[in-house]
Amino acid sequence: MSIISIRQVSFRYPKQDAPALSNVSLDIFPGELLALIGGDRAGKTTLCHMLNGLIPNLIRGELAGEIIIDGKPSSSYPQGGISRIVGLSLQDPESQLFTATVEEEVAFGPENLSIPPEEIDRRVTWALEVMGIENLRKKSPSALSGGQKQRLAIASVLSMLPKVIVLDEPLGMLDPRGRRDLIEILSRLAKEKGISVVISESRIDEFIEICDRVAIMHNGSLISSGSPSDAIASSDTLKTYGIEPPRLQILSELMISENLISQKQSFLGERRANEVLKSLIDREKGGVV
Amino acid sequence: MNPPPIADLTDVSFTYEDGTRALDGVSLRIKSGERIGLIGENGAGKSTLCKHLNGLFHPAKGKVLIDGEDVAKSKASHLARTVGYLFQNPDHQIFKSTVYDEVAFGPKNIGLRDNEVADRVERYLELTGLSDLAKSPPLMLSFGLRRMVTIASVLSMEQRLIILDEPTAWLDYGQAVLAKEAIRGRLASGAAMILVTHDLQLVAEMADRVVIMSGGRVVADGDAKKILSDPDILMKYGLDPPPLTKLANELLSEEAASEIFAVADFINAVKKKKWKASK
Repeated sequence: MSIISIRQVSFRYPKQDAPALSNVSLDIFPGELLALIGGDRAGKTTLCHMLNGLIPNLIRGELAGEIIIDGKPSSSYPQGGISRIVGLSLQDPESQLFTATVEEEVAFGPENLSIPPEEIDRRVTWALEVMGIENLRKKSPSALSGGQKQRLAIASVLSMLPKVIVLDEPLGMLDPRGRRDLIEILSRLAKEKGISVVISESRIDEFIEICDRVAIMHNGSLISSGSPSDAIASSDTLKTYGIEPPRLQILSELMISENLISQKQSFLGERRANEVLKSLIDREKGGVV
Repeated sequence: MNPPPIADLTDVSFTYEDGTRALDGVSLRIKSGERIGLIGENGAGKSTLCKHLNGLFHPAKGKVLIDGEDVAKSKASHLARTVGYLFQNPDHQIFKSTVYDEVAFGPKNIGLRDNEVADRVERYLELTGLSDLAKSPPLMLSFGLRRMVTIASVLSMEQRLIILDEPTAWLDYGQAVLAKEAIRGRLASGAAMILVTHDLQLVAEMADRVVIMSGGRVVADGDAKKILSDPDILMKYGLDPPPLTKLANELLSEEAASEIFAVADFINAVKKKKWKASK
């Protein structure tokens, strides 16, 4: 059964002519890693805000359809009630940081859940370690670099250990190692703890391979939802939706069109690319002998 | 006599109020028209370094010259004629009520005549795909479009050194293509660039020199292609090479791998069977 169910939802912000979302239906299942991809103004941020109840509970507008979170309509939760279930890190990390030190920022959420102090401390240390900012524990968030602020905003979501983690464009300011570490930990949280993870991004190079499902959005509509290989089968289609195709996918398509590999051998990510190319090399070297 | 470098930093150190030493004896000389990719882990000191070039920060120790003039003795308004700065967060620099006024603000302030201002604004709005949004309030736009507004604002000043902090982050594919084209236009006119980014593919496309920072120091400085195709040095400073570089280094000969910067390069190497020798 799904943990979040969005049913035929449309939403229009006040004073806007065009709806931000049009008739979107999407279920989010426990333990899945879902990529929500699309260009600018696709509706990704609006949908993210809906997944943790910011819309309609805080951000008002014209809403139609049903948003069910953990079995109940999102509008029926008391203020802050959904944050126990769904954690959201915003696109602009600065807009969610407000305490005097890094550790207070990460402890703030769990403190509001009346969790024992030792447990809070354990969670804070864990979240800071996971995000690689344990050494910044006593610093002021305002003194951090852009990338460090982004790590902190995500650590504050992790420390809540919610059932669903929603990250709106989390990779923008992270350095390459930070991106890889984040993707690895999210994947582990999904597999080992059954936490659902939703990542909204317009660049998909680094994580497309490990997603269970990819949903493409464009102009407020959900275009498709399926396996990574089905969802992003054509790089030209991705471009029309404002999504930069993964470079290895472009390589794969070109190698197919040049008859260097077969259609069946198409690849998206590093692991599969490596396998396919190694088998090509082995075959050719075998042919020489 | 050779013209002075556009930026010249000598032994620059800087410590934040909370005691964080962000720059530690940085020396760097940037020639007119050079295209530098400034890379390094989060917190390496990249943004702090850049803020010394437009006078936002003054060094605790050392000296920063812009176009031969000491930044510590220059007014910010004077520096703004030479150095442009695109911040990471668009909301740190947007403050006008329409997109048009936002982009016009800089050119007006450097004393251009009204018709020149109008020319520049129209040109850069078109280059960034914003012409139809000229009358919109910037803060009502999406994050990606707000970034495009700030890119137009910085480029419209046509300064000789532009510092671009993650110019394509949060842009979608179409926006990124436009932004890169607009930036290339400025570079073709001879502007020098410092591109601060974690996107090594973007560095490969735009820069000819790479500077790596780590712990507030410059730890590598050299030819972009040489550094970007060397996974060892990238990994040493926490910078994972892009997937194509990794794949090339795993499968192709060392010589071939050092030439792979685009998908087409890889295809050519595969066709020529430039495989790594079997162990």
